[in-house]
Amino acid sequence: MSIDARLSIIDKRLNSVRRVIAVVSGKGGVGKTLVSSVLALTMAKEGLSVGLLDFDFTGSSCHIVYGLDEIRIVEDKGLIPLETSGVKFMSIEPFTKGSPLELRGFDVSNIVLEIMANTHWGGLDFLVIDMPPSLKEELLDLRRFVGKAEYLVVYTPSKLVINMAFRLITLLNGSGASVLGVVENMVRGGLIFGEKVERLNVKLLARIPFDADVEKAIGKPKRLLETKFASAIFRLYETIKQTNT
Amino acid sequence: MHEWALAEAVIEAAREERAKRELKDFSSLEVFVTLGELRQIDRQLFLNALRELSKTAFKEGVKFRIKMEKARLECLSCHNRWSLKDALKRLMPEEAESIHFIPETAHVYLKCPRCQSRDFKIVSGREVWISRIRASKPKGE
Ligand SMILES: Nc1ncnc2c1ncn2[C@@H]1O[C@H](COP(=O)(O)OP(=O)(O)OP(=O)(O)O)[C@@H](O)[C@H]1O
Ligand SMILES: [Mg+2]
Ligand SMILES: [Zn+2]
Repeated sequence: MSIDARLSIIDKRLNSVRRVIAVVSGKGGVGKTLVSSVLALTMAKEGLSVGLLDFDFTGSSCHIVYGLDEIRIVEDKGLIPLETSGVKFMSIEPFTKGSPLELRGFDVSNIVLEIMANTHWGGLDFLVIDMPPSLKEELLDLRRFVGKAEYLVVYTPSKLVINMAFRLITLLNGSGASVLGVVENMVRGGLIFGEKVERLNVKLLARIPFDADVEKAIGKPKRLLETKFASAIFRLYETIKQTNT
Repeated sequence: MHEWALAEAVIEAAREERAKRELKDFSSLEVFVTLGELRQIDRQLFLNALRELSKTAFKEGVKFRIKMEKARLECLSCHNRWSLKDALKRLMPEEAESIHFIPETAHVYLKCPRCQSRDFKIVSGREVWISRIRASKPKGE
């Protein structure tokens, strides 16, 4: 007999979290980190209690969006997320301090369990999770351990990206996971809501323009909230709020 | 140190297992817990947390049997296998603490003593797990 003690406690840790939104894409570099970080900022500004969890263990970067150089996670009967700009923030960053982390698949699964089992989020309206690219461990484990997660699929208008989004949505739908909808990011022209994605019967929740000014605002949460990017995220937030699942 | 959170997980798992096995009428419960070396758990703190949590979690008496498991690592580059010896003690307190919270961060702070690779596997000494639960029936049954 061997019981992994972490499995039983995860549900309990998320008991008082109303909604869990996992920002996913399959393809890399489409804007998941920026979307999830600014979405959490927006929710906090709107007076909600919100958490942001950076689930990209080898490429954590939400702390860069928030301009945090020295993060310390407080410990009190478990891990207490850091409060920043009104957001409860958790990342592997304070434990690796920017060093590269050589992880195999089983290591990744272990980290997922460790963080989910030991983090005290308290009561939250939303927990936003910034997922890494790929359809591997982080996604499969989240699906396995956090049944109430809703998936927000980000894609950019490119055939290569849409093809991955299609695969991802098929995977999620096929396993009964809840797909909240899709977000088209870095839009420069007309509607390119992939015909393929449309066939999957998912909602297009927002179109976010390519915003050349966003780069200058990275690391400055207040300034970020004043960008065109953030205005589009605000509309996304309003849509999400209405889709009460 | 997050001994408390780990203890909570153990208690929750033990409760689930008891319910699953429909262990109802027993006078005492014995829970065997194994602690991996990498977790660097303060045994006494952990035991205190378990006892404190048991008061509300179980109405019967519960005994905890705690065993430590040595860490063994295996290099995925040169297949060398090694144990930690005092490697954890040689780390900066912050580094050791990172491993305590998330053992996989060992890939940042430890390396293969033979080829210096950080691409290794944690073979043992990582987990906190329940190896056995034993219930004793009340006398006279
Ligand atoms: N709408 C936008 N306008 C301009 N730049 C953007 C927009 N969205 C994202 N970016 C930029 O694109 C780059 C990639 O974004 P981001 O890191 O958020 O993607 P990601 O999907 O999280 O990547 P990964 O898959 O590696 O995690 C960043 O430099 C980001 O600032
Ligand atoms: Mg990212
Ligand atoms: Zn080696």
